[in-house]
Amino acid sequence: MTNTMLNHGLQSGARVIVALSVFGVLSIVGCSKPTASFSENLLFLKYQEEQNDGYSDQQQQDIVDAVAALFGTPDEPIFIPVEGRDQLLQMNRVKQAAGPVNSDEYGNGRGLYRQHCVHCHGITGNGRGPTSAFLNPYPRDFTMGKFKFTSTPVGIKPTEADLRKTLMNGIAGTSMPSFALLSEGEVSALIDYVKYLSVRGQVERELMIISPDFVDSEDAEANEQARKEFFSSDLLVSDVLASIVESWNMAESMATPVPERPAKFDRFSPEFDAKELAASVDRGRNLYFSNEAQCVKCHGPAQLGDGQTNDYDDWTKEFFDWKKTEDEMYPKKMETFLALGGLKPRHILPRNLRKGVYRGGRRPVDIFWRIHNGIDGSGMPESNKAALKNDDLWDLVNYVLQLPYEPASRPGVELRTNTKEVR
Amino acid sequence: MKYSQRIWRCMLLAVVASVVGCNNQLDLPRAKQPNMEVVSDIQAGFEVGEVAESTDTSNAVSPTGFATLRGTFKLEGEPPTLPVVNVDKDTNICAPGGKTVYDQDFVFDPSTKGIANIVIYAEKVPEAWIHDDAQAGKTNEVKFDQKECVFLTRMVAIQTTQKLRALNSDPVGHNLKVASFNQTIPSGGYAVYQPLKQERSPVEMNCSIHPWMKAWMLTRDNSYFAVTKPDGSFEIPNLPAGVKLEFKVWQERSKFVTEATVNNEKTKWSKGRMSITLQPGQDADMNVVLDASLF
Repeated sequence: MTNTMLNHGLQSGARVIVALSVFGVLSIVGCSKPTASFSENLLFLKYQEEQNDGYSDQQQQDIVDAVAALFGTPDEPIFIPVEGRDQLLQMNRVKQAAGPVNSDEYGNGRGLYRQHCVHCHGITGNGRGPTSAFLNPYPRDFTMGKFKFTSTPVGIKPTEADLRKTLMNGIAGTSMPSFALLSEGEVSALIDYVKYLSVRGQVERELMIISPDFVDSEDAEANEQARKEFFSSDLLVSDVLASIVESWNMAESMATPVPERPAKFDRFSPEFDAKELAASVDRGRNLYFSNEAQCVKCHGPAQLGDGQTNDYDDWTKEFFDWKKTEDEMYPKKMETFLALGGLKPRHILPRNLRKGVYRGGRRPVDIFWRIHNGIDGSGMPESNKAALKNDDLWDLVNYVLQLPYEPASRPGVELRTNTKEVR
Repeated sequence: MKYSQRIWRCMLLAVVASVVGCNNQLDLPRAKQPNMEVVSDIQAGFEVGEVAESTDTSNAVSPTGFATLRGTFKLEGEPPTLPVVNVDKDTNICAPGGKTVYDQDFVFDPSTKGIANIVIYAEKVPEAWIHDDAQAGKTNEVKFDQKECVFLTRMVAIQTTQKLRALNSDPVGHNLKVASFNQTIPSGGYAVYQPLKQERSPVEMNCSIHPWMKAWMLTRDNSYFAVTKPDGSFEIPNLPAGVKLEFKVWQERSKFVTEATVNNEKTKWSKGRMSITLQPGQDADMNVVLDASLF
């Protein structure tokens, strides 16, 4: 009797296990792969709603449809032929980087973006891929059309060479790795795909901004006419898309020319003069603390990057303005923001110059560009053109580059005295 | 027993499992997917786009003269309380004597009830309608100063052809960050900003060294804009008359103003747009009262 009961109990236990494992297997099998799709920029829509009296469902749908008409899907990207398109990117490269991970009969990689980038930057290029929340700093959101480490001034797009440098070298001190092991063609494909995503994101934002101009809530007929205008080639292609493409194409001509670094500062040059370099570093130190350059204001009196630590970058400020206008509303707004897929805001910190880690590159010219042009989207301003000349900037570059080698930058100085006391 | 019953159970389980397992797409609230029918319609429109232009009828009317629009913006109700800002740097200069610093995002004159720093500007004015005096072409510099870590002009409106000369009357350094510009300004020094393009709405001006500092800037291709004075008054001369004009009214707390009482008549400005047709030679008066709930 007991035996049969035990037997029975065992049997039912086993049955449950079998049933559960069948359920588990089937739930995985049943999961068909969802088609990849771009996600709507709800954060920016929310931000715009703060400025207007809201967007109707129809308006939202129209924006999504217009963007899809211009750019297709992640599997089938398109780029409507517009003036300057072929100068901006090559469609065969964009297609090589798009779509699912694959390779063709010759072994050339396809779907490169999804193989290498999507985890952090997301399928839409909004910097909110699955890993993004775990990274510090967060991955770049391309949709704003702003890039930090460029040879161009603030407000101007990066050049092809700037994007290539970022991909080849990675960004020191961040999670962005180097992709130098990819073939040159593959890197080019990724650069063009990043441009494609960035232009797409900018167009979507622009359409969200202008959409209220194409709605007439009182007159249905006028509304239909306005909608037609919104969908017209005149507006979408010749106006919105063309002007964004143009802003990208002017980057090359806007790049700050590289002034030759005086050879006397170059250790590898026969003209190198240690005394000149030391004098330049001294001048640079004075400039660092001066009214003209004001580096000390943010990078701090000890160059530890602790001068001004309460600012936010442009990607965060886009919604963070809410806090400043109404303090008590902030937690509620934050909830909305996070629910829409936003990442928790973090302060933007000035670089600790004693560590010798330079995100925009460590060559003297990279530091020169950062000081001369500032860093787009961050608080780092360009040098004052009326107060500082190129020679002054080289002094600052020389000063900054030797900071990590100063005794004060060495860790453990404190420790030695402590050990003495202990003994 | 019931072999067939077991099969049925298994099949039911299979169906449920595959349905449950599929549902792994995270749907954000309100996110929309493109409607492929509409998308291909739009794309078909792109291909015939070039010929469709002649049907445009909006240019059939043209202005019959010019007129001036002037008026005031006044507040009804209690003005909003200004937020206190957190002065965490250079406190001896930015908040001398430890005084409380307010974010001046609403400037109100209790004696006239006028609201300052509201910007009103005309949108979508075809180039052919624009009066010679209002054409972009003005090149005089606009001065923009800062003192005690406050931008002295809270709302700046300039033409694309103009330059902004940013000064610094503080003993500490500042930087000016706006649109496509971010440059340091030494104490007693200056920086010159030349806008790249017209803006559809005002953009924020900041200082990264003192992040609480704030002002707004509007850049337009013509001079059909005005910023209200401390008594709430404004004037836009040389506007095209006899044609429907569209204006936008913006204040930094309310952003685009959507409802107002104009000359004692309650009106709604849907999407922040206000339409007016002026008569040639007219000196139109517009007395606007805004309810305090907007701010």
